[in-house]
Amino acid sequence: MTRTRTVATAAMLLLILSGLAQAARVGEPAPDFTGTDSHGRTVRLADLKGKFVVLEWHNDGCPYVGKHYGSGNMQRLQREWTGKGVVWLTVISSAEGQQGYITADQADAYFKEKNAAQTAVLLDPKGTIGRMYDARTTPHMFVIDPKGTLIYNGAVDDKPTTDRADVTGATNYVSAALTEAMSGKPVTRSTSRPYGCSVKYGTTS
Amino acid sequence: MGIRSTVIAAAAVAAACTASAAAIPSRVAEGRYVTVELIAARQNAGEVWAAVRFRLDPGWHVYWRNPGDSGGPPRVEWAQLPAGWSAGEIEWPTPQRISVDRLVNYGYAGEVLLPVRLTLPPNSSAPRPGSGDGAIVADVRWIVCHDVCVPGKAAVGLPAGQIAAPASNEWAALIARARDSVPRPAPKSWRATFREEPEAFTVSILMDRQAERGTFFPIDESHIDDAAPQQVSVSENTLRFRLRKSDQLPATPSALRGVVVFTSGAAYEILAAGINAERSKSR
Repeated sequence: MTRTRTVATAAMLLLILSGLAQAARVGEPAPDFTGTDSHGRTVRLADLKGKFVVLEWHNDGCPYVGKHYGSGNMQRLQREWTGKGVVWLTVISSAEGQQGYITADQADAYFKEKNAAQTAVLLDPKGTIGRMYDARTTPHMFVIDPKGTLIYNGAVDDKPTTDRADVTGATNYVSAALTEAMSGKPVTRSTSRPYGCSVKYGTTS
Repeated sequence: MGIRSTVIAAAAVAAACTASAAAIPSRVAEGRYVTVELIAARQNAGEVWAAVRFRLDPGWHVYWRNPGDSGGPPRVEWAQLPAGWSAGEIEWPTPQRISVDRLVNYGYAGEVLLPVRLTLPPNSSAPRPGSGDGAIVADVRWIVCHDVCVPGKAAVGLPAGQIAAPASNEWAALIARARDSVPRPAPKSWRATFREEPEAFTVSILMDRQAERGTFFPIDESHIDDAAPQQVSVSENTLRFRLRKSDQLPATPSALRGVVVFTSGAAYEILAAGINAERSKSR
């Protein structure tokens, strides 16, 4: 790579990063967002104060997502935690034309077929919410407490593979964080490296 | 090619699983967007090394031990080794920074060989290379990515006797080159430290000569923000990196492990001790 290109790349990255500087840090207020779900309803994080909120980044073509949906692991988590009052939002930030992009109608049929149990599916093809949280991979998980503070940012669990068999015996970080926070304890493992495919943001902006 | 090669790879895996221990799977497996191959050869000093070779379609990559922002490293498990032999860990060749959209990965494009040293027992009753006894078989799992990712797995094997076969002269050279591309331990005379700031780590490496610029590759995950530009400065014998911290940093590490790749291409593994940590300990 030439020196000029390195400098140009660095300058570009710096520009991008200045916009992300305070992306989504554990212990700080979770960035507020307004999104649209697959039924056309507006979802605002600020309106969800008083509840635990889970954000799950999704791309149906990603084999790491396939591991958690193919094994039924993600649906089990959704069912368990929404059953305990958690608002579970599946966010799709794939840009139009990119892997994982899905229309509202397709999303409903697809998640029904998967027997999913999230509260809502947010369609984020411009990547606004994704960039706000610096969501890097699918899956990438965030947990927000009832005060609106981010309490977990990272992977689903501690087995960064695409093998369905690895779901058994894995330590699930999202469940661990919710369990601890619901019983008033600090979250022991509040960050981890999110593992998965890169989020398929649009190439511009 | 996609479906057919998947079927072939799947057949190879199935064969390895169901056949008796004596059966040896094919040495080469065609995956999707990648050809995976097992080679082994004697090296100078009589050591025996194996290597899993990945040949990737243009635009596709596999990952280093720390994959960076996404993906995951190849995994190799030894399903068969001749009696008494043992295999070491993968020695990871120097990776490249691979930008995918706004993320940065560490990995390999084109071709990479992951060398592993095989240790033979000292007593000569064990199978020797060329004796015709036994085989080495690796179960390999990987994920290859371009803009999208495709996982794959295969069992690849070869009879121990082939290690001394004529073909292994070429293999010996390939493995020697792969081992040359593995970062060396930093010279003992160098001193590497890091200082923690609210947003960044500053890593300083005091070398035994005029320092040159380079790139830092973190060995441990979630320590630095992989996509952030690295601020690199050189002053006499000191090379300094200012590295933005990862949002996923679990706690201040006692040491930062990394590979420094100089503009000359030379690569060294360093272990930077925390200056702040040392101070608070001595207090």
